[in-house]
Amino acid sequence: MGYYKIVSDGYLYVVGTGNGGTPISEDEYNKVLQVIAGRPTADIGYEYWLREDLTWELVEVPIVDPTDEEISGEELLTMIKEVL
Amino acid sequence: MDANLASIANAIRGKIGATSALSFPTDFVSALESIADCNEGIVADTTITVASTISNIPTTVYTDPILKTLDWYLICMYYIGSDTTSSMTLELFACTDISRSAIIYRNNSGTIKSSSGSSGSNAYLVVDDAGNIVIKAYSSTEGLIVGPYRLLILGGI
Repeated sequence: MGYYKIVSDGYLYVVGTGNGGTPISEDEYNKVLQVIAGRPTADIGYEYWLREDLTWELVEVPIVDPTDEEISGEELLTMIKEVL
Repeated sequence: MDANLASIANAIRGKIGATSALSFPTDFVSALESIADCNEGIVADTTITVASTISNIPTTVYTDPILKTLDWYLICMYYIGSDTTSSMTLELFACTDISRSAIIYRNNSGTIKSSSGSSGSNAYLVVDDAGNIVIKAYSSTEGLIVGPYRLLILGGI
């Protein structure tokens, strides 16, 4: 089984099994999981991001306005029927 | 492919509106895995763990260029951890061969809650043009995404 990590802008966001990103060893995978399990608790309005060097950085939660719309189940079925 | 899509559609049809986040993925995965007699199959069956609290910023959780080569795919992602205070995230969407950006279904049936259970954030998945699967999560106060999750992709040409 392979392991991977996804790093961006100096932060490590995800580790996983398989081939979904940059390959890492099982040892590194387990080490990251251990660090994640020990993540500090942030106050409301803040959160911890994991740096690539496996240290935590406290950041303020960025505020955005989610604008994407969902569709209903009926709309889904209509769309599925159209492509069948 | 049509027969498989029909099978998937029927599987989805019976599950829309399900209130139990636990039964949906189990049944859905079972439906996916029961599909046979075709060239399509499981593209990925992985376990992912999100490291940081990533609210309000898109976060790539899986990348595979093969997604760009598929005519269609379905994705299911759900929480498989043992934290009973956390809600299960459940995401599912399909892409047809008309345009890979044409998401025909996206279900956001649950929220991701912190281990304290006091707050949560809404989240859903998208696939970008590079074939990256991206979590978009939103929270007005905090966004704590716990793991691990199972990410299952079924697709074909």
